[in-house]
Amino acid sequence: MPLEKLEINDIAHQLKEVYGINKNISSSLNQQQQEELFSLLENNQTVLSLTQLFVAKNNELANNNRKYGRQREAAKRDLRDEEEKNDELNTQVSQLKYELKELRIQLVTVLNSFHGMLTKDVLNRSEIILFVEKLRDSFKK
Amino acid sequence: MKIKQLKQEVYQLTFTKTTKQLKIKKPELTKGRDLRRKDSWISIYSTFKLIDDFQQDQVSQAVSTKHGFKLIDKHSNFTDLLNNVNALGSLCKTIESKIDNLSS
Repeated sequence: MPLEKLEINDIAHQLKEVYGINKNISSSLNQQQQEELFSLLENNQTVLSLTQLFVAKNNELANNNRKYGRQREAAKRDLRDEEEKNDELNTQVSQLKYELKELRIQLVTVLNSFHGMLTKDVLNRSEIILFVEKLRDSFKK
Repeated sequence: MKIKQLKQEVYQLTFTKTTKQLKIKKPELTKGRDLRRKDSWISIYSTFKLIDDFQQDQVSQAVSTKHGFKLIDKHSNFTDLLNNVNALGSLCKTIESKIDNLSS
């Protein structure tokens, strides 16, 4: 097909098909510039080589962009997962904190009760020994 | 309490280390507040303490029910006291088990 009869989209298509120049790049040139470029590529080895190098480099960068994009998305997912795990752990730690506080409160309550019974002199020796043994066993590992 | 201490208390309670983290993790506490001002930190601390105390009450009731703690009064006897010692042991073992699960 004669070059002058090609529509701008056809030239862009040819530039892509024959020389690998993406349409989003060739579209920044007007029709006349695209025709000149096509002609240069057909007739000038240096322009052709340089263009091929640019196209190869562009493809390599595009591949890198895709690869890093995938890695970034995977990292975002991993980060979200880690954040969820971290939140879950924080919740559990928070729950444990409350339960430890409760353990301390209850221990003090039990010891106060024991103290009260001791001072009222209502416990006999065997009960005191049993209480101390049970309390010791409660906290044995 | 100085603003630095208030901040540290809030960070500790909310599992955060910086104001930036606090804003991200607890926006409901920081929204609309000027965090350069001490009264803002007092409000945040008070609000969180209120929530924290409420949760402590909830845990306390749950623990009492689950492990069978009984209220001791002047009519309580030695058996009631031993019952609460057993409940202490049960709570202690539950906590140990949870800590083991967390660290494994």
